[in-house]
Order: sequence, then structure tokens, then C-alpha cells
Amino acid sequence: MTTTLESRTHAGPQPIPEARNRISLEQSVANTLTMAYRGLLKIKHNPEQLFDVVVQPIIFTLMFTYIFGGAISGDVASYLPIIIPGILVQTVITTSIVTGTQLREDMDKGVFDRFKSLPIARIAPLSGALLADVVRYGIATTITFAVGIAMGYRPGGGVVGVVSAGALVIVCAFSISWIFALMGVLMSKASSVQGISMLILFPLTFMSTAFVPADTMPGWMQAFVNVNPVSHVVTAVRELVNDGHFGVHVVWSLLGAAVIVAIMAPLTVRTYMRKA
Amino acid sequence: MTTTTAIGRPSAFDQLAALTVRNLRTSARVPQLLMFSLTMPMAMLVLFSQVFRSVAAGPGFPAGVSYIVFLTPAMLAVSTVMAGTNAGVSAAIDHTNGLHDRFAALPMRAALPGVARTINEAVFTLARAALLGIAAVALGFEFHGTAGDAVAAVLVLVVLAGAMSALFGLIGDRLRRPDVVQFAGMMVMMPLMFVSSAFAPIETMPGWMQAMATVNPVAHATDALRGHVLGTATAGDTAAALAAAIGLWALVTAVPILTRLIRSARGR
Repeated sequence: MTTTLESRTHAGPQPIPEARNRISLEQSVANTLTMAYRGLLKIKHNPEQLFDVVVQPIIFTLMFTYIFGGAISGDVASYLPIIIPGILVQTVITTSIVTGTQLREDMDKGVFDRFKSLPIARIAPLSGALLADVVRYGIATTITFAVGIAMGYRPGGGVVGVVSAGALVIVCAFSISWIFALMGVLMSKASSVQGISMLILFPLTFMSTAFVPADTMPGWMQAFVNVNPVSHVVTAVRELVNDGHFGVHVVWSLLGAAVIVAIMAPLTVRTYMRKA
Repeated sequence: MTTTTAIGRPSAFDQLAALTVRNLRTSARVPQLLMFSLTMPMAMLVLFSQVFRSVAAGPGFPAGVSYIVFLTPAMLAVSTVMAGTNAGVSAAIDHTNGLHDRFAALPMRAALPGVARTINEAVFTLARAALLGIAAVALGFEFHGTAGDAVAAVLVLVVLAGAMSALFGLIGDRLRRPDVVQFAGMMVMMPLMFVSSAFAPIETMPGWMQAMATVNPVAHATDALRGHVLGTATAGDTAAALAAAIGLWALVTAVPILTRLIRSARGR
């Protein structure tokens, strides 16, 4: 028994899809989300990556509050409204350093060479990795507030103030992570990225209003503290959490975050394409 | 005709000297890390002395003492702890590179690499202390003690450096992964640094923290160093600081020895 298959032939030759040099915004977003999912899978398979964002907020909050609470404010309870927003900003921004170091480690493993050969948006491997780290910032934010509340802190801004402050810190940390991503692309070793990032962040976080009011510092330091972007973020978070007040510092913080992303994202992608 | 020359095994002292030189060279070959470990304590001293100077106006602060005089001896102790974490990471890197496997195959005592690491830490501790001293003087620091106080302070500092090197070296030897060692080191370092009178008077802290400080060798070292700087230290303060550091050192040194004994007993 013979079976004849009907051959379906088209009138003309099959059209070859047109090769495009540009990827649509929709496709870029889809690629970024895929890469972000990869980042989340990495966290899922290596949960020890979350140790720093879980343990650091607990230790920092306990240590700084109990060490300086009595010495600066007379008692711990009156120091909590000052220190919790400060610790929150410091912890989450410090956590964003990991973005740069992990990026460097990934690039050393050669996985980014594979990504470059794929027909995906050039920004996707970078923005995806940075987007996945937003989960880390969220965990650090939640734990810092939880420890503060357990210690007796009662935010005057209510749920809306706390959630808004958390969102603001996460947005600012995401924008700052682009700076560390650029360092990750530029530098040859993950340890160098971490060391230099810490060297930059250490003065920025301590020479701010995070731990003590600016008026208790010497004049030369106050001048820097008042223009330090970290001080603006800390003040914005403090206003949101303690008073539920959306002030000018919130606007400055968001504007600063937008400017950082607008400058650093293209610069990082360009450097990555040239160096990676 | 072949001539065989019997080469005597180098003495333990020669081996130790070779290992110490190797450690010092290794530290010098990573200038970024070297500069970071030497300058970070200075940066902390400058920042903390200015940012937290309002602590001097708070309760429990010793009368007539400026915050820079209060903080400088504490920063000497704290910088020693911070450097200890680097020693732990270095130990882990040596394991990763297979250096310890080579050492194990060499005809030398197992304790020598650890001793060499301690000497290396002591050298860098003195270098850091000198740099910190210069920075502190520039910020208005004054030494109120005697020459004997200065000698005692250096002794306390070097013994503390040895204890920290041994502690973090053990962590590095046990965990063996540099990233894990760095994180574990941070977790150990933070309580050692902060559960003490380093940055603020211990009286202003809660009771549980004060209780923890009584068994913290860094707290004892800080109190002794501060006493020597102010010229108010007693022999008891120095003895307590040395005893706490030596006690920790002995405990940490005993762990690998006990582990080896238990393993060999099980093997029989």
C-alpha cells in the first residue's frame, strides 16, 4: 500500500525576515525581564547570596542604635526616628555594591560573551541583572523596618509613608547601582570593584544626615553634608516615614535618580559593548 | 664520578623567616589592598571624630577629654580587628591556590605558616598605628601618658593583632572560600568592634551589651589603650587586656590541635 503525501507548494519563494539592526522598546523590555528572571533564578539556587541583605540590616540597626542612641539622643527611643531612616538608606545603598561585583564575576566567567552573540537588546543583560537586585533591596528595606519596629519604633507617617519611603529608597538604590555596574564593567577584578565602591560610599553615607543632625558637625563638613545627595535621600525618607510628608527632598531624590540613570545607563552599555 | 652534596634541612627559624618574607611580599604585591587596609582606619578616624563628636557632650563621657583623644586609641584596636579579616581572606586565598597543600608536603612544622601570618600582621599593625597617630595629631590628639604607657600600649596592640590574626586565620582555614570568609569575618568583626567602649561610653549602652563587653578582648584592649593614652591606666587594665587577647589566641590555636588529635584518635 502506498501513501501519497500531498505536497503543499507556495506560488513564490518564502520571504526571508528582514534583518534589523534595532530592537523595539517592547522587545528590550521583554529581554530585560528575561534576564531579570535569570538573576532571580541565581538567587533561588544560591540563597546564601541573600545573607548580606538579611544579616547586615539587623546588625547595623542594632549596633548603631544601641551604641549611639544613649550617647547622642539620651535614650534609644528618641534616637529611633533619626537612625532608622538613616540605616535604611545606608544599608540599601551599600547593598547595591553587590550588583557591580556580581556583574564583574559573571563577565569573568564568560557568560556575557554568550549574551553578546544573542539577538537581544544590548542593555538587557545589564538592566536585567540590576532589576533582579531590586528584590535584594526590597528584602533589606523590609528587614530594616521590621527590626526598627521590634525595637520600639513607631513611624508617624503610617503605612503610606513607610511604603513610599521604601519605594523611594529602592528607586534610588537601583539608580546608584548603575554607577557600580559601570565600575564592574571597567575594572578587572571583583575585589577591586568592592574596595573602590566602599571607599566612595563610606564618606558619602557617613558625611550625611544619616546618623546625626548636620548642625552637630564642624562647619567644613556641614557644607558637604548639605549638598550630599545621600543627605537629600535620608531627609526625604525621614519626612515620609515620620510625618508622611512628600516634600522637596523627595522631588530632588527622584530627579537625582533619573539623572543618574539617564547618564550612567547609556555609558555603562557603551562601555560593556566595547570592553566585555 | 658523581658527587652528592648533603644539604641540611633549614632551621625552623630560617623557614619562619622565609615564610614571613613571602607574606610581606604578597601583601606588597597588591597595592590597592595594602593602601585600603592602611588608609581605611585613617578615613574612619577623620570621619567618626567629626561626625560623632556630639557624643562628647552626651551622658557618661569622661570630663575634660576631647572626642579625638577618646576615639584614637579605640581606632587603633578597631583597625587591628579590621586587618584581621584581611588575614582571614588571605588564608582562604592561599587554600584556594593550593598553597597549604604544598606546605603540608614540605618538611616543616605545621604551625609555622600561622606564626608567619601573625608576624606579618604585627608589622602592619605598627605601620597602621604610626599612620593613625599622624592623622590623630593633625586632628588635635595629645598623648598624656608616659614612655612606659607608650610601650605598654604597643604591647597590647601587638598581642591583640596576634589574637585577631589567629582568629580570622582559623576562619579562613576552615571556610576556605574567600567570599564566604569575607562575609563570616564581617559577622565576627562587627560585634567585636561595636560591643565595646570604642565609639561611645559603655555606660550609655543597654545592660546586655555591657555584659557582652566584659568578655570582648577588643573592649578590654580599647579600655587599656585609652588608659595609656590618658595616663590613667593601671597594671590591672593592661593585664586584663593582655589576658583577654592571649586567652582568645590560646583558644583559637587549640582548636586545630584538638581537631587533629580527635581525627588521629578516630583513625586508630
